[in-house]
Amino acid sequence: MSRETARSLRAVRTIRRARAEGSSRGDVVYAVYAGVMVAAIVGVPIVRAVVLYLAEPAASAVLVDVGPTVSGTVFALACAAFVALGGVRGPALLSPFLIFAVAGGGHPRRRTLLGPVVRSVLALAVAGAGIALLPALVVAGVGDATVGGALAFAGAGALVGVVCGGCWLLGQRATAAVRAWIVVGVLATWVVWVAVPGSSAVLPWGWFASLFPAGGLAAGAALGWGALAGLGVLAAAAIAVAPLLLDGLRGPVLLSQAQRWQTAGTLAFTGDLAMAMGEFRAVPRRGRGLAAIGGGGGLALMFARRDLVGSLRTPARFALACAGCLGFGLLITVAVGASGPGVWIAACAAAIAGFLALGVWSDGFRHVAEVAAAPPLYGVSTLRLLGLHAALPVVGGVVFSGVGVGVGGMVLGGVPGGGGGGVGVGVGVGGGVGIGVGVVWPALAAAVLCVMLLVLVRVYDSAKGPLPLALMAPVPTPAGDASALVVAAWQADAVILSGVVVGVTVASFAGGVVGGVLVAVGLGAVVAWLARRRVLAG
Amino acid sequence: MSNAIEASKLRLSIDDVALLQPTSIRLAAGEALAVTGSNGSGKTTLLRILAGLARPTSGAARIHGAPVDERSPAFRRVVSGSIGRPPVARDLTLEEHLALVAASWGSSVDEARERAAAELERWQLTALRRRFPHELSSGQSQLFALALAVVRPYEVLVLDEPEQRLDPDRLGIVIDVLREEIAAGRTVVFATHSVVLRQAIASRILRLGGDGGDAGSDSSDTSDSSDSSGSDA
Repeated sequence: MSRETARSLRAVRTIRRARAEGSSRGDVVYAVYAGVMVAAIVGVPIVRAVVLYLAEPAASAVLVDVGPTVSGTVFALACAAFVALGGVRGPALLSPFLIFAVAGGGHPRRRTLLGPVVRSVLALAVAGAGIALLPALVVAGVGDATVGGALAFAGAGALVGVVCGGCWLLGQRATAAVRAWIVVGVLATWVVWVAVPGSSAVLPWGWFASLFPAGGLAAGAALGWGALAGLGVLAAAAIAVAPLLLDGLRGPVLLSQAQRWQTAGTLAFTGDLAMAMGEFRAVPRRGRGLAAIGGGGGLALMFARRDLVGSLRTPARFALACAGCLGFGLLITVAVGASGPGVWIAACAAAIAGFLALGVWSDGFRHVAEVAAAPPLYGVSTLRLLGLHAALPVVGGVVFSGVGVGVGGMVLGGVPGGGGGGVGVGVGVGGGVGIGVGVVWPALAAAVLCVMLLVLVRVYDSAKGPLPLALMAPVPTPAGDASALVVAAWQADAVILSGVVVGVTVASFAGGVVGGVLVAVGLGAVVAWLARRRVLAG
Repeated sequence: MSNAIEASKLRLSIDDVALLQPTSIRLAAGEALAVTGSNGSGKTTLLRILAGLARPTSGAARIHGAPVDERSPAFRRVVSGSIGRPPVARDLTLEEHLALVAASWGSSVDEARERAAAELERWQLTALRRRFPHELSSGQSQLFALALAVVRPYEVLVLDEPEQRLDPDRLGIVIDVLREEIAAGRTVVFATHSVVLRQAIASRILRLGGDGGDAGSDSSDTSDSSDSSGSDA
């Protein structure tokens, strides 16, 4: 079987190569050239700027302080994220036709799908090593660590990449329910690691954190090479189970992922990122017994109920929205309590989290945008329809971000520079954080106002049309055509706007709550005007 | 003779909504079963279960003695089918598609190309061999989808309304090819609304749903037929 499989795959490759499109040597050379140029022109300056910034005394002190915690947390969250991602787009991915013709054939999937998985895992290992190497070299450069320690951390980063690859494949293999349990389990172990002193020795997040080449945990020195060996065993286990996972992949899942990815790629290539993202939005399969239309109370309650029940029919998305809003509230608390650049970093992180989370509850806005472009369907105006669909994101956002502010107050409360439980939860760059009880109420006010602003941004984003052709025109600069930057800015306008409104609002709270409220109201008026103009133009 | 297909009380429902009422099938090699019924009666669902693309809520199916499991290479070797539009590569011609599929089943490149040419000839698609999938008419696309399903080795063929979008002449091609396949000992299960196709191919009929569908001519010239809400064939 193995020899026959190899022969078949060789024959398939021969036929594919006979068709030059997409895989000619020239294409590969051009892709390498483009990649090198982008890395040299865009990547290197960014990396250099980050390294120089982190090498500043204040920043490197924070890096040494929070490096282990952040390392372990990133590892845990990445594992959970890759498991979840596997349900949407796994590493075992070919074009739909090759899934049909090759993976649907009579050969074991451990052979036919091995190639894309190996490439994905290798890419993750390289990325893991590179991402780990960056802070490690910074702390080594400022004399807080040895080069050997930095290289060991980079090696651990590569192993973490392999483990993440295993999680990705596991997520692709698992059913939705199992996937959800795995994600919950991973996050639970992360909470244990954060909350229980001494758990670092038995949890991989602690192993990775202990290898951070400076500062860190008390347990770090004791773990040492054992931690690296533990990560190695974990990575080896991920590689060992990969064939079993590949053989267990189901054809319909593989085909639907391949088709979705191909469609999204086509849409993204044409500049329609919103439609591309829509390809990955879960479709409801549960909760058809829940009554979306029912009860009384007029249109407002009817639409609120309809949106809530509709959202509950995709439970995983609903949970993500709740968690995202909770994280948004927590980050707002951090931002309000921070000083210096830390305010903007935490506020922008909050804006992204909040924008993404509220996107789940913005299906109604998207529906209105579609309806507005068709013959009249509902008996109310487009603007009123938008208002009716705003109840769920506003109420949901306020409730869960309020909980997040409360959690933030409890976790970070009264701990200058962070620190809670077994490991430090310090946040703050170039300024530091000191969360006191007095921060909670301003943070709550800021969170509520920012939710309102983000809902308006969501309305603005939902009415976004196709990419204007004018943006495709060349923008000559001494460094070349900058039209790609213009297009990228257009694609990300809502995210940028979210960062600006949340950042300015949070920053304005430094001058007092009243000032913050006034600024937020002013920003709200501007965003509402932008949204209204876009909606009516559509 | 052992059964090529043996399914017992297959049922699929989602949230109490029945997509397929309990259905049983027993077919020998070389038989052809026409699955009929009105829209929504569960024809495609039954085919998807037999092809391993959907899992029944209850009941079990075995094909050539082994449980239906799409993850098993052995199962995939036995069962082929055309249910819905097949995925195609936009950068491959029809001939290349067929050759690639044939090659993936163990043929050398030359053998695969010969196999593809023969299949194109059989489906009278030779004139279109250099076309890309998007350059086909809907009827030509349907013939090409069927050709993709039979260019590979298999024992059981599962087809969902193979007559779709075909004119009478092209339907005649489908009938000829399927007769050849059945004569070679292969088992065919197909959902259809075409009386012509059913009468030409089917040795047995399974009617799903209880509202009559196109049952008027079900028993015309076939050797066996079943009419059921809890269907058996």
